Amino acid sequence: MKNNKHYQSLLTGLMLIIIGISFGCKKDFLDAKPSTSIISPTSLSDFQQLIDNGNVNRSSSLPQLSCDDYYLINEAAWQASTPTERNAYLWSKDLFGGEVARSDWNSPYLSVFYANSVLNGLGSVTVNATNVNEYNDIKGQAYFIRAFAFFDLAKNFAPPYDQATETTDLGIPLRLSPNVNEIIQRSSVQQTYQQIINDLSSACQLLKGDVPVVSRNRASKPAAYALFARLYLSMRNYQKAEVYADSCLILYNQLINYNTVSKTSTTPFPKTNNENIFWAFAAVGYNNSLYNAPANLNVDTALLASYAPNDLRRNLYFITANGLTKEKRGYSGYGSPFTGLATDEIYLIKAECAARRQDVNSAMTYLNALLVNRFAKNTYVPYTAGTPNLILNTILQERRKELVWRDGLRWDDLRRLNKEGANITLKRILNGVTYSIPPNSPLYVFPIPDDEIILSGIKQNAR
Amino acid sequence: MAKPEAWPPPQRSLPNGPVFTRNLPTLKSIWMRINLITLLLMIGLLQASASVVLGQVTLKESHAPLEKVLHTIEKQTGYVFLYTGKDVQSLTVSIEVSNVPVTEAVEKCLKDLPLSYKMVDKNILLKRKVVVPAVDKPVVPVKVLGKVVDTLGKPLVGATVLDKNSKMAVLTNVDGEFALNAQAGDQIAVSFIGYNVYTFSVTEGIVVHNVVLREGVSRLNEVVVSTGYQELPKERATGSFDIIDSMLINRSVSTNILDRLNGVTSGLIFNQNKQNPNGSNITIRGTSTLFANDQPLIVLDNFPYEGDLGNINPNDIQSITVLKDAAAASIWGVRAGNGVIVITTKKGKANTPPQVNFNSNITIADKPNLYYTPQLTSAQYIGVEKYLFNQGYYYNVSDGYSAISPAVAILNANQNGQLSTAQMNAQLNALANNDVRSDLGKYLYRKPVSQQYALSVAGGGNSNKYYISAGFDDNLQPLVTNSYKRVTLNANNTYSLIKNRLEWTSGIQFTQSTTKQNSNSFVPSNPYEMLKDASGNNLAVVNGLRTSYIDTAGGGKLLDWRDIPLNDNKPNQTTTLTDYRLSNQVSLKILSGLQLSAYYLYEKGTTDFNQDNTANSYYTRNLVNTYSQIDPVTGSVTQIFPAGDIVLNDNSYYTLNTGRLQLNFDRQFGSDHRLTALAGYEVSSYNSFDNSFTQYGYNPLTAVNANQSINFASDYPQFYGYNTGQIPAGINSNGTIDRNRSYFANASYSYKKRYIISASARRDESNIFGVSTNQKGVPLWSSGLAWKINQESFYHWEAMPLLSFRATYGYNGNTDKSTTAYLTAVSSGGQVNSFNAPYSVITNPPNPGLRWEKVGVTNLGLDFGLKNDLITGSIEYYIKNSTDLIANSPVAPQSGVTQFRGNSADMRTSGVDVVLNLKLLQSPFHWDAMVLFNYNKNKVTKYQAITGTDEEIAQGNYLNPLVGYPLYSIFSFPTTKLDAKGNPQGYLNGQLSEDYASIVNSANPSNITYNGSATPLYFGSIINNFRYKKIDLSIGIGYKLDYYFRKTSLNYSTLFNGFYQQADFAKRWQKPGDENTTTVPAMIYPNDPNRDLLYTYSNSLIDRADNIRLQDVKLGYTLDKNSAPGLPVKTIQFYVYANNLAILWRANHDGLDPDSPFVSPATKSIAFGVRVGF
Repeated sequence: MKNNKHYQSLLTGLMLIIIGISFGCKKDFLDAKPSTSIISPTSLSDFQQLIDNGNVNRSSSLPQLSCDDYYLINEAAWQASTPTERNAYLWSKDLFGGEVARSDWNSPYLSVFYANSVLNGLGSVTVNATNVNEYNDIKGQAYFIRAFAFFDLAKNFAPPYDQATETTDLGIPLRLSPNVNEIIQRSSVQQTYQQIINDLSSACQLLKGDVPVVSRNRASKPAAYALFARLYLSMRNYQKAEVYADSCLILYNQLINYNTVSKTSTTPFPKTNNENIFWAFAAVGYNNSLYNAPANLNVDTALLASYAPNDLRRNLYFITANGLTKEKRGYSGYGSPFTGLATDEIYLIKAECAARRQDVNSAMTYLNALLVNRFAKNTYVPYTAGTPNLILNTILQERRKELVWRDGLRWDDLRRLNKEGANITLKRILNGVTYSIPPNSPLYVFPIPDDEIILSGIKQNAR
Repeated sequence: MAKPEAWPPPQRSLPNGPVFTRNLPTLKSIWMRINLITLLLMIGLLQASASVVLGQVTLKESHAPLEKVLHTIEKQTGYVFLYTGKDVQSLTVSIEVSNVPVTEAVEKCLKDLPLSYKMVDKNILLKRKVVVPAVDKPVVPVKVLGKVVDTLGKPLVGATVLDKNSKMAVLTNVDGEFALNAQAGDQIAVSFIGYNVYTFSVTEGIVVHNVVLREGVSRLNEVVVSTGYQELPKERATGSFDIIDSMLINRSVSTNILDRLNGVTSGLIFNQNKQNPNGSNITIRGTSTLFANDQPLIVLDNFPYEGDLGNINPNDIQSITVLKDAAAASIWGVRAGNGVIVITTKKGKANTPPQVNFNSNITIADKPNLYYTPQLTSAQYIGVEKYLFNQGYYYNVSDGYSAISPAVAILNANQNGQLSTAQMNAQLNALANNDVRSDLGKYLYRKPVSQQYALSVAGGGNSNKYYISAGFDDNLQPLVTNSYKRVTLNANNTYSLIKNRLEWTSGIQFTQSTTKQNSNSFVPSNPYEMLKDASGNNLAVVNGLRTSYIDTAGGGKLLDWRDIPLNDNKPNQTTTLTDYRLSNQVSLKILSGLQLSAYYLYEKGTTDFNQDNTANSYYTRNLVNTYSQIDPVTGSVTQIFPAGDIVLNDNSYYTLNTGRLQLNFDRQFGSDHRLTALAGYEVSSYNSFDNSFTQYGYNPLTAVNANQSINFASDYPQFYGYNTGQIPAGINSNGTIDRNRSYFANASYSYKKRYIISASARRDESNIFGVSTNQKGVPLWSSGLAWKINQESFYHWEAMPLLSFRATYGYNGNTDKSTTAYLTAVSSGGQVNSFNAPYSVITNPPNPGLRWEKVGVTNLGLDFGLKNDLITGSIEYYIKNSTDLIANSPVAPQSGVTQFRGNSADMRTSGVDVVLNLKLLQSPFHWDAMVLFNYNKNKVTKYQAITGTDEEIAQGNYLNPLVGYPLYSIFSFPTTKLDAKGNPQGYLNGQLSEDYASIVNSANPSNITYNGSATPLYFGSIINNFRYKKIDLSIGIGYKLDYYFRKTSLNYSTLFNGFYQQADFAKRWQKPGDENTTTVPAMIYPNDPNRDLLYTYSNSLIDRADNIRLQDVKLGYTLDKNSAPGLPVKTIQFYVYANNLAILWRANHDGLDPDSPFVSPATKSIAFGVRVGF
């Protein structure tokens, strides 16, 4: 009796062993995915998820540190900052002071890596009638991301575009494959901008025509046109800039009437605000001096003074407390400054380009169309025609007031306008000493971070 | 009454009867036959003693005629001698005996005479022996047959049967039997390592000799090593094994089994003061990998143990075998690269009545020494704050809400005119008298107390054996809120069926442990914080926001925003681990020596984590307030977080299914050849799943949460400042599947028991992701040989009866499943981005060339034993060549990644392990000692990646290995004395320099100095054991030599950020001239972080870490029934065990424990225990 029981248990044990062992003999036993959270991106939705993670919506913060939107209130505030913050503030030759792993460089290249990974992966997706639209859209988004990142890098780490020297000026390394073992040397400025144009052209053809209602982090055709407009403006190719501004506005031209926006909210604009065509934000929180509204800075007082009393932007963009004026959250709807594309910028590009080709009426139309939404209800007095030059100056002034704290735009304008002969010299006074950056100075090109130079041996910028 | 001389051997104590009649019935008749003569003698004796009153012989004669002597014996005993006269004529005898049995007297008489005798009833027949001429000794061939068994009757296979006269030797076969051609009178020695030698002489007529060998005192070499796949006598192994027997396991007292390996395991080191915080806590024979898994494999009863090691009850462990070289460990294939620790649990013994054992102890340790970590005094720290305040450092004072320390608040109030300077000074002085450590010691810490109870029953019958145990541990940890409880239940049964041809073992293990902690454990932010005021009220501390701000924020509409640590000083976090392990093993003897075994193991473990932040905890109140909004017009409050508790849950489980089919073969061919082999197939699948979620607005009474009312995609502005935040959905689930398939075989062949060769091969296949199937496997192999020199006929060195040599070579492997060949990404799980879409993040750039890491191991060993086991031991030398190591290499950021993992490095480790066991004194005072000496050195031989900056090498060499140096090295910046302003001076490209950024960021390793290894090159321990009567004492001394450590000093970057736990503040440069007496730089503002880095990693803070410590002392007092007949139990032992006693010597002069230079080292503990055998 007792033995019988043993045999029964024994049999059960043997059965279990046989089942367990035979399970391991199955052919696909070793094909199981080791982790549920690991995705080997193969499907279109996998690629869309890679694009949706926010890493590809980041831009450099250095141009904001170096521009004249703000000043530090005293020497103590300056001393309390990090080396990069201190050096960028004074346009020192040694920008990073030994600091490495700078997101200003790394973050756009991370975007490029994502874009290249998606482009590479899409190569093995079978395209058919049912998925072709989505396929094209994702491919277009990847091209857009790469263009956006390359342009961000070119604006900071390569000299301003100049047709005369474009083949000899050093551009940026143009990485077109996700292979991390590859080291790419710097291209010329001509090659750099040509690559951005190629990528954007591809994106324009592939992307969907509508700005997404919710997913403003995803590029669309209007976003690609808007980036083209920004790119050509930066390249001082005003004719093409205007064409693309027009193209963008045909597809998407919504503006926010600032009268409808809460004046008391510290976050007046949501991320999905109507003017947001493509959402992006500054990657590095230089917390000591820039973001999260530290107590040690003030917005440039001349700039503040330039807003008319009925100009709603003064109180929607800034908050004054304890005698200091700081920025509120802007179009990013978030603590970091907005670096993406919005319709107001495109209206201004359109107006500027029109003015530059002496089309005063057109320029006035677009400027007024924008500004009527910026002033208290029924108080806006439209600009009327003047000399093209006067109009251009007005447009540039409005551009300064409208696109303040759009991380990077002011810095790029300084590079561009000085090339145009604007002759703007920025000055900072610290502890009685005046520091300045003359127009077209090589200091307008940031040095490449040391870790990149050490590891890839690419050529450093002369400052 | 003395026993007859011939048989059984006089030293034997166990009766042979039951053993042979039960297990070996066929032998019974042989046994009976060979004992016939003995029995006859005994019967005769019994009769003699019954009929004669005295029965004993007492004689004293010198050269007396034999006949006269015989006559005397006849008179004293009543025996009658029968002989022919001529046989005894002229023979004389000298004899002196007193009260001896008749046989003894007769033998003494006839010893030197040419006479033999025979007893029949009460007659003794004397007969003339055949006269043997001395010069030409006649050969009387005798074929000696026999069987060698141990005291349990188990045949001893491979025992040596040596004819001392002819020097001929044979080995016993698988049944322990031998046959030897000898001559009458030859001395035959039967030996088996670990057993006492038994010698008998060959006599005509007695051909069958059954020998029972008793276990010898030396247990070093008869030990059985267990690889998890097979058990084999250590003397037949070619590989490197280290065995920790139950005596050593029970020497120390701990909750965790691995802790008990410390100091008793050769080549194994506990990594204290680890450079790599994620590195393994123990290392066997040095590191063999750079960035892949560096944990040794833990095997529990045949199978890898996947659960929490804390779940193994040390009281259930019989022995531990550490597999160190390729031959030992290669059977574990790709998992063996870091060595293998095989843990074997206790089992019952057949035919043993139930044995009940109980063990209990209580350990009390000191409170952690809060004064060990250096810190600025309150006055010094207030001085720093004052200095910074005057420099304008606290610019955020003006924002009105950022946290400022009480001292800064006082300084600010003075600056604003709210406090007079006198008031300010008075208040600062009051703060300066506080020391937060006194409150921490009073309210947060206690003396940890651990209690342990273990009860077991073991035994067995004819066809079964069993072991059942229960254990309970209850530990109170140093933090008053933290505790640990563990319950273990363990049962295993073995049944022998079909006449012992089939054996079935089943085991069940159950463990549950509960850890309670406080997630809000208070960490002071300045040295003068107080937790209670003079009247005993709990005080609030500054945390995140300014006191003056939270007092008024929201005008009373918000929740109380104060953080009062002692109000939250209770356990709010429970982790429950539950483990089941069910195992089955069936073994069938197919043929003699051939056995088929099948194993199946099922293991399941669950972890339930629950952290309840109650509605009134600071954690919850702070979050609610931070995201509250007050409408400026209506004044109504909107709380984004629903009212109630915030509960974090994490439930995870794993299951393991493993099966194995294995054929074992073990057979002796003739007397010279023996083959042991096994081959098998194993498959395992380990699945884990983790599910975490957060419940907001949780009501513990109804168990309902309010998550549905939350919009997780929204960015909510914070009540103060300009930040926004999303509410983390806190939902995450992910699973892993780890599948392995292995084929393995090994064989060892021994010839004449002198030469042993072994070989093993194993192929592992695993579901490494993204690798095509034919690359998923890796073949690994080993080979080895052993030469038992002392078995050679030419070996006659009696002073060293044991001498053998071993050599092995082979490969182990290692995997890193985090790396894959494909581009892989990790999905966000339940979390969505700001636009309400799921997303994923790339975790691994594609790496098509991915391979397994390989470790080639060479091991040379020498085992020796001096006469009488005075010294036994081994010396081993090993070299480990690790190739294809997966390395993290920094990559140019333009690639989009900053680090890349690939097979790009090689490393070489070499070392020496010496084990000596000394028997210094025997009875009545015993003194023996175990001496462990280890040498281990490693060197990175190839590292393709570009290493980081000099500062990165100095800070984390293990992340930035340098070719030619150990993986764990201490590098430092050479510096000279401070300059006249108190600035450190370093060197850049050979020139004195104060260009700190350039020095720190230099990527030229010639700018840094190699100080030495960060792990000891020499280490080991000496354990002295003393025993006198019932008292035993064991003293463990450990040493670690030739290594370096970095002292912490003053770092202004962290000091200015509020990190007040710094050394050397008082020693800093303060005035010109100080540079001659100190190396601590002056305080400057603004601070230069690179200047701090230069000093922190400068050579002036490097010191030798060598130390010798008195690790532990154990004192025991044992009583058993023999020594104390009135004892109500079989044995009882009382013991006291003291651990972490003292550092006897250290190379540094700062009084630092180099293994814990910054935080309080493990405190002294003392355990009292009792062990009872019923």
